[in-house]
Amino acid sequence: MMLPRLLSREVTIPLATSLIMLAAWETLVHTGVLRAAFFPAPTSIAHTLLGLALSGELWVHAGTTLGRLVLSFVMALIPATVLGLAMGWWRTVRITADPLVNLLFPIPSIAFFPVVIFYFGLSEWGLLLTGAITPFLLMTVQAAAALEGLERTLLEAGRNYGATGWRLFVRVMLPAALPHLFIGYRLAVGVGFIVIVAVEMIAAKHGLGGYLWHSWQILRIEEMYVGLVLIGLLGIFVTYGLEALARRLMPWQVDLLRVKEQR
Amino acid sequence: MRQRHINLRGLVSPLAVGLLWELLVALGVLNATYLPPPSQLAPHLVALLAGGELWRHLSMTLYRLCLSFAFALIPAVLLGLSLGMSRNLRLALEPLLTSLYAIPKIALLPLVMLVLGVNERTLIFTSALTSFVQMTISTSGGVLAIDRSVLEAGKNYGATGWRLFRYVLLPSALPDIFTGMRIGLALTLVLVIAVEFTAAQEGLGAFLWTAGQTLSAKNMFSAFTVIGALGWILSYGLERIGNRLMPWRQRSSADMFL
Amino acid sequence: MNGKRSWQNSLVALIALFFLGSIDTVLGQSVVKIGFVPSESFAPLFVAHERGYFKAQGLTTELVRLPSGAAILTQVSTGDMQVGGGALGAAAFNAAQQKLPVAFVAPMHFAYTEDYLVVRKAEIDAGRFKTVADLRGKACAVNAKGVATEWVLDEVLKPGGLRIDNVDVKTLPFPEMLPALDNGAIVCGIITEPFATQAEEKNIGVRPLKAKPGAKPVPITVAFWNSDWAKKNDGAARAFMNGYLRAVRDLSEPNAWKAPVHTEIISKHTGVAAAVLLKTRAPVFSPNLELEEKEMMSQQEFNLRLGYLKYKELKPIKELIDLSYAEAAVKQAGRR
Repeated sequence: MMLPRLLSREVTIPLATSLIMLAAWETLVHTGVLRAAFFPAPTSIAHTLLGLALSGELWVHAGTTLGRLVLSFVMALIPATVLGLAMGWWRTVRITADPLVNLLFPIPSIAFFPVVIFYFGLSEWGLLLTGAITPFLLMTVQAAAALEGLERTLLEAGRNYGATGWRLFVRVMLPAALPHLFIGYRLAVGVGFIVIVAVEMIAAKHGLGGYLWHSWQILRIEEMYVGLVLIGLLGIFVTYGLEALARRLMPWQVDLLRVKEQR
Repeated sequence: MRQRHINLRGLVSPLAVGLLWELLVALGVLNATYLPPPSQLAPHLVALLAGGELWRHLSMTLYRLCLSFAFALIPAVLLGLSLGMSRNLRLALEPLLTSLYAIPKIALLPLVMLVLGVNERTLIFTSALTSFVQMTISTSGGVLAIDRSVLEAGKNYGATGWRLFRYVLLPSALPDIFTGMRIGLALTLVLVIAVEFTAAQEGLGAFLWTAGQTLSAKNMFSAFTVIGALGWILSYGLERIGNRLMPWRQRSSADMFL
Repeated sequence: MNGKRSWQNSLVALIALFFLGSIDTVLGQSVVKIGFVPSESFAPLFVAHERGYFKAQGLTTELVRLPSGAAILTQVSTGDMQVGGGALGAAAFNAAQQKLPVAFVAPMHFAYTEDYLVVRKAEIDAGRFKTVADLRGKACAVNAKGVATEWVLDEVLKPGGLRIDNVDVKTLPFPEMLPALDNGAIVCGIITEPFATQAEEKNIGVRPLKAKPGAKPVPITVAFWNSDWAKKNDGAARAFMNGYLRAVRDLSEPNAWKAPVHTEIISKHTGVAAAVLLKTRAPVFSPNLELEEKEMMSQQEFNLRLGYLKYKELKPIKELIDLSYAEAAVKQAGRR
């Protein structure tokens, strides 16, 4: 039963292209076209990675980064959803918050770091807070949009069935708003991840960003690549994890980016 | 008419925040050295603008922004369209795109510097990379999301090949492509600033970094203001263009945002 | 499909344009690119460039700002830059071990380790800090690991019977060390100028240690270049060294650090106001470009002990530095 699935296009083509690219890289290093000191062969990167996994160091770094990501995400999520829904519900809130949000967004979160450090010291809170700012802004806006985008007909239907106030909100609006909210969550996780890694690169002892930067600083290039690979894997893990969660919470929703193939 | 009304009200909250800030500094709750209030910040910002230095940095950033965005946009749209239309291509490039998407591009900067050296090209390339990946995905998503019935209707009316593409597929996908562009532009700005922050001598990001290094909170916040204003203007500008190009389009969720 | 083809054509054209930018690398062979980070350690390079000492030797130089010390080392080893400077940290030792074409050719700046240690003023006022030994278990900041400043921390702790393992080391960029000292997140830090002086000015920190009279300053940064470039352009390499020596000698003059011509140049490239620079403690320069092995071995040892190096045995310093060009330049100019 599994075999036909394994041999399907969805699996073989991506696998083939990945292997070809890795093999090409390996060859280029061995033939000296790529300097091994700066472009280590995939095999030696894998070797270093394995060593790191066995020594346990890998798990500490990966776990720390993941933990920071989750925590800062949750820190941003609750105020953002509350504020965003308020913005969507009450026009005045929207007009008040909109300009502030738009002004703050383009500023790279790391730039806030010095200010945050002053008030929160070097504690985890400083790191987490910096990582939470832009995701907070993103999710607020999506939450506001989620409510605004609701179909009138849906609301009317709900009301016709006797749902009002709180019930209307929880049973009709919230499920309808969920897909939009999730777009916000996905963007937020993506951005939050970037910021956490960037902040770790500057100021953390543990965590993948810190590991990457430190390896770079002492010119242990293989370790740097391992860091990159791990960061990528973590990113994929988090993205797909969120998608899986989305699919479970909203089975009725077809995701824009993963439309079931019809062609 | 309604537009103007909203714009005025849009100023209320920043003003309110400004006043609150002044108050908190006066009360000693906030430290003016690290969080200069508007009364100190405004004259400083004006002086910087008048002095011309800030304009120099601003134009550098704008220059990089335009180049990065152009270099990201055109390949992204082309690739995205191709990906949207060919399943095999999509599958083949999936591992590369997904891994690229997952890695914060700023982490790639050391690597890019190794390959391309440290120069303008590297800055632009790194900035473009993030929005390239993101716009490719948005564009292909836009193509994939096209309603089958629209395509069928087009075919029924005799449109094939190029005509189908130009008059049916493209317009249907355009709203999503455009939304992707708006996010892409915002993202490019963030990346340009981040890259300048790390590795440039001129540009708003570099100015911001120097401000941090010289412990000048006033410079820092002046930079914040200019960057924020720039981001705002860009998104409004792009929204206006969008409205003109695609009057038929329904506002999607991301529009609210930018 | 015509439209598609024209799109493809424009795409190709754009890519071509993009890589035309690479022409600058081909044409740029005659320019000597010098990588730096905005730090006053690079004063000799700034001065030599700005005062035309390189030009006088027939060299066209270009100063390129890089994001970090490690970046300077990598860009010089790939040949993207020809010359750079930086501390003798783990990166330098690892670069040598991997036989990268980098040669460390002359000292850049020296300093007294005592000038780096900044202790939180509140600690001192509260009487919690009397000697270095009181730092046991406390939070101390360095700007990065595997760099000379980390070694400096170890060095200043030694007289108090401590090693770096006995304190809680935190990594922070220099500017952030000041707010961190202010609110107690760290108790001490190894802080470079001008931040150390600024910490004192703002009453956030104090430098409690004084260098012993007659003590020698230690080498902190070293100038290096791409050895392949030096081999192929011997004349340019010598010219560089001559210009460099001149600048170092200028800066070795008494009160040279405070001379307006110098502060202006350094201010320009570090972004630090001249007024602030004047108050900082000056680095020390060696007018005969001499480097002592003892300190460098100590630095290698330190990095080895902390596991930063890719090798396990100490290497003789001769394998890492090449002072021949420096010696030749000094000979030509005559010893001071």
